[in-house]
Amino acid sequence: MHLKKHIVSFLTISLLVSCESETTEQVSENFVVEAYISANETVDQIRIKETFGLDIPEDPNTPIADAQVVLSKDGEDFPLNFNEPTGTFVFEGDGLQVESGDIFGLSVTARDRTATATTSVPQTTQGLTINVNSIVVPEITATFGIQETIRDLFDNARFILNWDNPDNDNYFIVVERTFGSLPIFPADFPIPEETLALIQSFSTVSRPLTTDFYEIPAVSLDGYGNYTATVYRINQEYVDLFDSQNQDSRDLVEAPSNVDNALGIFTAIAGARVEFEVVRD
Amino acid sequence: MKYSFLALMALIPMLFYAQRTVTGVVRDKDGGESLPYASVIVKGTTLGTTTNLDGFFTILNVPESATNLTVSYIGYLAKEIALEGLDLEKGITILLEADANQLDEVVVSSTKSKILSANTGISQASISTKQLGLLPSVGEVDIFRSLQLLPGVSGTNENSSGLFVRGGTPDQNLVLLDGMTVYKVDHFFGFFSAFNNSAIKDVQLYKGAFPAKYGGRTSSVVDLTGKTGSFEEFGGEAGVNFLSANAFFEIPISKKFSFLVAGRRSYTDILKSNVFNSISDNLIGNDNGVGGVNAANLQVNQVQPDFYFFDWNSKLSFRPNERDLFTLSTYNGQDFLDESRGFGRTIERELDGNILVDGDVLEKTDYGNIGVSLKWSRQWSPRVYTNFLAAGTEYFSEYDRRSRLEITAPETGETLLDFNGTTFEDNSVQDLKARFDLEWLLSNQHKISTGVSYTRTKVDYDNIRDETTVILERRQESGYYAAYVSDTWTPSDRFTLDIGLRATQYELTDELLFSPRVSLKYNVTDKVSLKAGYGIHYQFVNRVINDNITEGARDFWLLSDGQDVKVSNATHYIAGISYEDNGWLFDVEGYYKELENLSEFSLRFRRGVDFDANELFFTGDGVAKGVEFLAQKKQGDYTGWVSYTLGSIRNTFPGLNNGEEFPALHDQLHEFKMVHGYELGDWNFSASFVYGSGRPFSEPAGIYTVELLNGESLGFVDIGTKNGSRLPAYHRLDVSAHYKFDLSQKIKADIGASIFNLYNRNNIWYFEYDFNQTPVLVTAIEYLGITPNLSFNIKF
Repeated sequence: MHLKKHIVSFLTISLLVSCESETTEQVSENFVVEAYISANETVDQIRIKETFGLDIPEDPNTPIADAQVVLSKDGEDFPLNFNEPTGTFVFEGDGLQVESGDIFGLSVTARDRTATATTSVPQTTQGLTINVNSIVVPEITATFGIQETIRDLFDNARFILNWDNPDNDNYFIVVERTFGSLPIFPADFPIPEETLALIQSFSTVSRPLTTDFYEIPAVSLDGYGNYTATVYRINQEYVDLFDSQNQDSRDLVEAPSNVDNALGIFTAIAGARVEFEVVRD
Repeated sequence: MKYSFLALMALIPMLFYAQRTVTGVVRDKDGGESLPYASVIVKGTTLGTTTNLDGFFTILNVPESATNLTVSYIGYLAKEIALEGLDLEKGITILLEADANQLDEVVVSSTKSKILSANTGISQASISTKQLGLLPSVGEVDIFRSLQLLPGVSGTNENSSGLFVRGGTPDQNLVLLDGMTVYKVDHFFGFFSAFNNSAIKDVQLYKGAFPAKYGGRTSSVVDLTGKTGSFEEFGGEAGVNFLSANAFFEIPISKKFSFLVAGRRSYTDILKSNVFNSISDNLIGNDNGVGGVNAANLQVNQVQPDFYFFDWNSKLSFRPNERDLFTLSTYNGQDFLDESRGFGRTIERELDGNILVDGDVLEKTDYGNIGVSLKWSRQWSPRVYTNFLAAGTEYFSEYDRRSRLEITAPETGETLLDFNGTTFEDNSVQDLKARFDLEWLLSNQHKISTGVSYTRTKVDYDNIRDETTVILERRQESGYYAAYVSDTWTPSDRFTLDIGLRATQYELTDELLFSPRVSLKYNVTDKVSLKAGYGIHYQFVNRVINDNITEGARDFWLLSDGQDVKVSNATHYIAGISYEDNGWLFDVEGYYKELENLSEFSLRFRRGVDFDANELFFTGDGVAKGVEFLAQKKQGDYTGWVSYTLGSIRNTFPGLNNGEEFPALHDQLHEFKMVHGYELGDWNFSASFVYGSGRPFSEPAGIYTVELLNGESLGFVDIGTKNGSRLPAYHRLDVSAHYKFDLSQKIKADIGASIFNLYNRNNIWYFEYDFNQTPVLVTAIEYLGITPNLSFNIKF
């Protein structure tokens, strides 16, 4: 009978002990590393920021200002400081050069955890050329036959970038307007859906490419003016990140990251640039 | 001297002749059904045995002084049989009477356990299908739900009638129905098990270190024996409740042939009963299509499933004589689920104006099992019994989901997003099996069991997205040979050792694997026993866990191929102590299980479109350990039990969670259960309570963006630690009341009322996340709320 009492007492105590708080135990301590370094440029594109909750509609981009961020190269450390106006970490001293072939390490300490990553600076894009430096696009007005004119311009009025890529390395192209504000298409110009879709099929920011050319239809650009086209040689970690942008809500894919113990990316790029212009007839 | 020796030699046979062999068969008095695993004891001695699968028993060397046998079987009134005057050479037939019949016969001495028998052997339990109707249920009398009330078997999985036994998963639990392997044991989202209680006469559960005759699974065994059917008189049962109707008939064709058929079908697709509406309302939350808020600022969507199921069993039996029995058994159980739904909502944005979200999901799941078995069993002599079985089964699961999401700005009519997606998942497993088993009673000290089998298994799996992206395709086929031998050795009155060895040759990986099995029981006193068990167990067809963050798991079966899915194995160590008298059982068992080559499939690490499917499989190891406590009151007007399990399951996969240990999905530290039953005349009242601490799940920890080189931002989800969060604790109280009465002299009736989840606890099943919308749409999929039901059954 004593045995029975002991067992019953034990079960009662176990039940009481087992009562738990009815909340989930979710704690997000992770942070995001968003760090780019460019060959032959200053280090000013390193951000450390917080993740945000599922119930928040947009990224509040909250930087972690007190993070300790250190770049390292060849055994030498380069501590970075937080720049409040830009929300980035920058190197304010002398002696930090980013050159092709360098291998950089990054260490970020924040919220009692340290994240690390390494990247190598790729070789600068070689042999970059452009077929023409200037293309004339006539004024677009609602006249008879203008649709055919637009189609003809889209097909034939193109800047073509070429560069050396015998090994099918990864490249990434960014086209930016540096001067000018006049649009090619007036605001009220009625563009048929099919033509609009053609024009918009071009992006001023390319996907990662393994080709050795890139075509830029003049009528797809923002407007008349001066442009630069930068062809960056990029590392695989950037390609992985770009490819993963289509996360499928049915089976979430772990976003790729070359950062250990945190999220995001640390990568280096090396680019070459050409200039061109779109002028009005 | 020489003559003295000869005289002694002459006396030895006489000593043997002073002892007898008692053999016979134990049957149900009501219909003549043979009763397997019934206990037969020579009163006043420790001599005894249990009946075999067909109810036969043999006890050797019974002293002439013995006068009575005590025969007991779970759910039946125990009986004493006087040996005097019986024709022992011919064999005796012992008829037991179900406890519920309440007839006034003087042979009744006591009942064995009324519903649960938990001290037959190490980690072995059986439940009475005769008495299960007295337990509370959501509508159907349910064998597997009843097993989930036992210690060491998780009782907090409403979505699965499958058994999570001591850290094992349902696929690691071998389920046999008349020798057929059953792969899917669920109906209705897992709320009900797929077996019609009316057609089952015996249920044996082995929670670990199971005998050598069982193989191919690493956790546990549920061995279901279907009824044979009466050879003497027509009988049947019929019942109806708010969810389904069932019927069972046993038809004696002649003195040698009998036919049995049982069927169930839900009518929820035809008639939306109150119970069905209760289920729907609980899943929906309210009527307008958008549910309440279950987490801070997270809008919760609805799911309104439409479903029905059916199953039927049949058995044709041929008994040419008392020694032979031929049976042809079939089973078919299928479910059809439609979880299609639509959604629409307006999201207010301060800067850009409102946006309208509209879409729908067409989602259908069909699954089931079909099986047939042909068995010939023969009692060749009092000492030798054989069983030959040929069986084939097919499991299939078909899942089809098509979703559409359109986001527009109503003020401009602009379409911001138009998304269409499809998922197509098919899985089938086909088994063909031939098995031969032999039991040979060498002496009262040695009972040899041996057998051989060959099983051929074919598995197909297709997982296709958007009609073009093949996530995974598999066409597999393999066979395996198995042979076993074991000896139940009883060297003394107090000590029983069951030692066996099983060998398996698996063709696909060309492996020869040996599985030693040992279990022992030592009776310290008449009431106190020490128990221990050890076994190595291998599994060749595995249900692979499909880690799905947004929708919960959708698992599938694959054969071990040595690469993606390896042959898994588990080593069981078990020790326990029990105290049992006529009225009470107190039992404590501890277990430790080493699990190797566990498999998991995860799309979390998929890269791009051209990924290598082999990289999505992960292999790891685990450890399950725990201790179980059971206190059971076996007899009297009040019966029931209290159980508590303290357990943990930790897995380590080098490729998952940074190689760090993580809790398995079914890890549960505490589980507490109470089952109470009280008889008052023709009334029977019962209640069951289950409490389980929160289970783990992988919760998206947050969202983040990464700005690209051009300033464009990509959004990602921080998936967080694997199984790093815990659902709230699960608890539930069910109650029921039954009243028995006679409709006529031949027709007995039972009317019952039950309430499932009496205090309407909102237990959470899982969360579903839709990241196509901002803020993220979180759907809290809940288990059933309060669900009353009425049932009416007749037996004739």
